[in-house]
Amino acid sequence: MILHPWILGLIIGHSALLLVFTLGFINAWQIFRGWDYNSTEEKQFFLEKKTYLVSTVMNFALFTQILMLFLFEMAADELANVLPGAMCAVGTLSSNSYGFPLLDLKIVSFFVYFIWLMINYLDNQMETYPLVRKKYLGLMLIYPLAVAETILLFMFAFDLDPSVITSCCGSVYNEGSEGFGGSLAGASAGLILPLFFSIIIVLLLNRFVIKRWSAVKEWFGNILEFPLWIAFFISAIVVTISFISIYVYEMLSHKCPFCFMGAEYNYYGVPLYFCLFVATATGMTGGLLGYIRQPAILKEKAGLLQKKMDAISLWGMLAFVVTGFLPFVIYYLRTGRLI
Amino acid sequence: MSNLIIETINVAKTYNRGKPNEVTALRDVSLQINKGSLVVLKGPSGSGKTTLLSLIGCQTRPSRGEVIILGKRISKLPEKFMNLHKRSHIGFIFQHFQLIAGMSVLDNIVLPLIPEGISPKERSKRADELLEQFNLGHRRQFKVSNLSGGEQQRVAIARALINNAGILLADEPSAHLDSKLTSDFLDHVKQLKLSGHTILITSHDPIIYQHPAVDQVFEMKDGQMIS
Repeated sequence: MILHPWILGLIIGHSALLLVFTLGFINAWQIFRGWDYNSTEEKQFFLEKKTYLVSTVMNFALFTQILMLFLFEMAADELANVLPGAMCAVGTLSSNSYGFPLLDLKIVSFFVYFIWLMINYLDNQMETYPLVRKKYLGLMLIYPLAVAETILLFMFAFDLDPSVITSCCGSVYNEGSEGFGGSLAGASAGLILPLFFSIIIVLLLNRFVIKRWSAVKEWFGNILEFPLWIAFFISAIVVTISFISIYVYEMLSHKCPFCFMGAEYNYYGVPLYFCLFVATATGMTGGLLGYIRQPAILKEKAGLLQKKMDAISLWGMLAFVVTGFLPFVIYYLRTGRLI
Repeated sequence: MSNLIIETINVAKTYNRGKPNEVTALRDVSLQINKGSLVVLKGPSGSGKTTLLSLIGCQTRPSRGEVIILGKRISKLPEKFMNLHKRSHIGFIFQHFQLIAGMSVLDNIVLPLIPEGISPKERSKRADELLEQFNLGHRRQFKVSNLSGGEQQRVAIARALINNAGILLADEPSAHLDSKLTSDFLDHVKQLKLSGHTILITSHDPIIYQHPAVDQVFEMKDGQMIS
């Protein structure tokens, strides 16, 4: 199984990225420890040259890590063809105990890496490297995520056994089944839909009312922004599984969050998840950028980036809602009833 | 308000640090140049003149010390901002002119404007003004390889001025010119000085550093400023 091209590709890709990450970590430590912007000594000039190289390389490495999330999903989907019982990526992920934890970790990493990339982008817009120490501290803190991802991937890959029958999505995301997938599939639409739209309303209120009141309220609004986007993301996933999927498959019993990413369903899930991930990542980042206050020029640049992030997150959220509820609207207009 | 436009503070430059071919080109060089002045750096070959000019011209970075141009610590700027500063404020005339032989006079002159995103029409307009100023209008579409040494030098000066840079740096401008062409060059430089440009020239040619228009002469030896 380890010699399957997708597994080999993932292992080689993650190993190479971990190597780059490790070099980045070592350099980040050196820069973090020795940085003194006001110094005009040789060591500081050396670090200034180094930070340009390290941030460029890490930009590439983190962007590739972000893409690895999508490659991992594609790999899991392909591997379903060789695992007995698997119908889609769910079968592959549930074939051992590392699959779903790895996916969850990759999703968390996606957002963390995105935030780091934006902080790095902001720092590179400045003449005086105001965020250097913070961004390299951040890089050192996220290094364990990359290590854990690679270790989990190795454990997942080595534990894949084509002789063991795995579960299909129909049994994992079934209201009657035990486990987390069953709980998600069994979530009541009457409960989760109001919750989902309430979160959106609170997000909009926070963005357009609370944050515009005063500086104190803006500070409070920025604190709210981050957890609100996490809540939006989680509730959107639950809504996707428990409600949206029903109208995509037009079946009450099929609630797989992966099948609709395939050609059979015109890759419907690809734009849906793209909007969700982009909205959440930019929304979270926009909230964090609001904390940057000093120096004034950095605050100004951070403010401009925050505006862009805020706009993208709102459009992304709107696009997710439209894409997600389109199958429901079409079904209702066509049949005049609900499933 | 300070009239200072170029300042170096204890600047040092070492090439190939830690390698067998390590060379210390500059040692703790400090100088100050006022706006609108014509200054010459003189000294024998290998004294560090070109290295100092390269540091001031944002072509390279010091190993230690500070270079301040127009009040900005350019030696501390990230690459992107250093290039922006260079493109906006500094014109450089290289020792061998560094023109692109296969391109026309006009295309050589407008080259620095391309990364600035200036429209072809505006580029052409600015170039035409300089071509007239340096009496090169009739050579507009000539390839630079077909020009005489003096004409090539005037093209190099025009290219250095196309960005309206206030600071003009020239590295050994008379190295490949006879005394007549050197004198012509100095006439151009004098005119530029009168129009408010700050000019820094490296040279070991007495025709240049003894010229009456020169305001200040710094002498270098073995990477140090001796006068």
